[in-house]
Amino acid sequence: MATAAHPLPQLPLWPQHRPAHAPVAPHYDYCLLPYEPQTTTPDDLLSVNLLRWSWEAHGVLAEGEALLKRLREGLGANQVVWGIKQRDGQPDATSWELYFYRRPHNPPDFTLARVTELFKPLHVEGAIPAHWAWLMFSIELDVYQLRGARACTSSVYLASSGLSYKLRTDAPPELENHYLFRDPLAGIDDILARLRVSVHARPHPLALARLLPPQLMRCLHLCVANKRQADAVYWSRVDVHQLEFFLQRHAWPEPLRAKLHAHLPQFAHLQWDLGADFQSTPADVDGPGFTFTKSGIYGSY
Amino acid sequence: MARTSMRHATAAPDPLVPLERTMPHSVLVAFGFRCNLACTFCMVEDVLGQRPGTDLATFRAFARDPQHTRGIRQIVLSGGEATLEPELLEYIAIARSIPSVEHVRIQTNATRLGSGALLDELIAAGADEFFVSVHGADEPTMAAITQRPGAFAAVLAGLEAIAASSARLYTNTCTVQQNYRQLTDIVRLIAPLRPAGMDFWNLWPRVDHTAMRQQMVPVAELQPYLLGALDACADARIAATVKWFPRCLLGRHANCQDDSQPTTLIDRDYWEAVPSYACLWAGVCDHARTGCSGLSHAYIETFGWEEATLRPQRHEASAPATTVAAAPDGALQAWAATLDLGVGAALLDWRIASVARHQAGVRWLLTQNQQQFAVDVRPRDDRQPAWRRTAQFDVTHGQIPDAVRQDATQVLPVFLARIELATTLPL
Repeated sequence: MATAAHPLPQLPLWPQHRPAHAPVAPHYDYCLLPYEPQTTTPDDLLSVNLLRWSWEAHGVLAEGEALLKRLREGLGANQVVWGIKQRDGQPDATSWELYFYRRPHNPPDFTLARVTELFKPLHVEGAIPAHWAWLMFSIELDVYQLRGARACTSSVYLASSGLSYKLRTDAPPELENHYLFRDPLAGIDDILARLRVSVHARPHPLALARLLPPQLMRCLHLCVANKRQADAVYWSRVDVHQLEFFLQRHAWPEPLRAKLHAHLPQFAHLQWDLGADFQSTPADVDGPGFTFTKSGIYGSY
Repeated sequence: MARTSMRHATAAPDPLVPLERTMPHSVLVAFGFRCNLACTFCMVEDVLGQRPGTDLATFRAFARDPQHTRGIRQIVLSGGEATLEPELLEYIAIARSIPSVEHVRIQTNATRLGSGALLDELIAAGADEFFVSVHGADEPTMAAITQRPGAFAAVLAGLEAIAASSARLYTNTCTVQQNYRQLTDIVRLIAPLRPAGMDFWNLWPRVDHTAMRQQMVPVAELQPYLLGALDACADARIAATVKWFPRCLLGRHANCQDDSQPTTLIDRDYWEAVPSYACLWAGVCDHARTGCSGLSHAYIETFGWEEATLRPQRHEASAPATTVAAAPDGALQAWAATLDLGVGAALLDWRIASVARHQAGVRWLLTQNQQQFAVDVRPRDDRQPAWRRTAQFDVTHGQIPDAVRQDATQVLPVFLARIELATTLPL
């Protein structure tokens, strides 16, 4: 596995193609909802280059790109939301997740079963019964799963519920997360109400400032998630400078941050989505009583 | 000079209302980044001796361009310590060459104005307002803040000279750890000089570092002392202005809070370090909509959001959900609320006035300034016309009043983004 001490050769980056004489094509956020690019330059890059850099750093670029190619050929453009998950304080503890939303621009027969076929030769566990009102499903990947050494696990997110379940082949679905999305301005009361009852944070003057840093309050939606072993905050549609702030705040691997910084103007047309898990640390008796355990960034392809 | 003094006399505003509330007609020109004091919280500390500021040629070009100067009534000359600038008289002359300018203000520590000679020269050249930094009520405090023993006496001499002149005296006190307990004493010190206004600027951490953060005062600690100073100003009929302190904590003096600043001519990279401000309640508080900046990011990182201390002035419609009367159709309302599309929810400048079942779908009524229009969401049917289709829904909207058509085109995508989080309607 490559580390910061072993710089990698320059990866050819995937450009944001813009059809000539056509209106600006919409971009998609981590809910696979469209938005118009903030700015455009001839050298704009796709957000998925960050995913490729992450795969490259962990020696699975070829496997990852092959998977993206199968998904693009099988589903078309703008059908995949990708996420990079980073364990705080563990530069090598990286995993990835691909998300598939039920949206108007989906191809026909857009199901987990169809995507599972496209994942082959990688094996995906789980199935979604036809009567479930699902909004989205996702498939988790780590280095071993991308190399086909282990089956990939999947989750389903139910419509209008904020609930997600882990899917298993030989066991009932297991409740995973509960999400609450709100406007960061008008919906702040609900966000605070949810954070105040978090079992992972204690009342402390700095608790909210750490969970909701002011630098990230300029976003489309805030989301609080209650998970099995942590709670989490998500920020949707932040700009590339906020992304940089976030990566630095959570000490993401320096090589990836450096590459992002080197190409900052070429990523400025995008809006990004972020998330951070926090978990109680009972030993922190004088502080907010939690630490960030995992952070994630999201884009679409 | 006589002419502008007369205008003051004939147009004197209510002394309890700050004179330049929003400063739309002021331009601040920053130059000569040198100073004979060394205030521990200096907001231009990093550029002192490093940047040239706005040179004469630039200011002259600005002053000659009617496009830039249209409507400008006041020029503020600032540094560093502006009176150290050898070309200050020329800056004043340029300011006075702008036809619409009524006042030329010098921002100064006044330490060089006590003898009267320089003051007379500046007034003769056209300066008619002096905005003096007074950061302590006694020598030890002033010396600790300015890092210059003897500064207190020099400032006081300058204040008295200005008070005795034809110019108007204004003061500014930056509220920090070293002086916040003596704010009322500062008012009592200055009041006999009959200042036209007194400003109290809470620390603006443009140069954000650990030492700067240590000078910040928690707002709950500062509040009683600041209110005491504002009471003293009111008693003395002195117009007071407070900057960068939450308006919601100022009680009956809330109208004194004004975070606005004039347009500023200064080196472009000065702005890169300007502090950002935020308030957790910005979306539900009227003060945020009318110019209250909230707290600096540096403050929030040091002391937190102060969510329990701040007292947001809520719009009636943005009151917490628990205070909204129970809706007749609880299931529908609860479902809409999960999408942040419940009654009272804000979408940009619009609010949701009602949510109700309508024909085969759900109708939202969006309202803004007594204008309103309806948005209907029905199960998707590709045979029917629709403004937008999601995977599950057809979305249409009713007639949009012309007066709000532009705003409506911006709010509709926000509505769409929220409704797309749902896949079923509670019909």
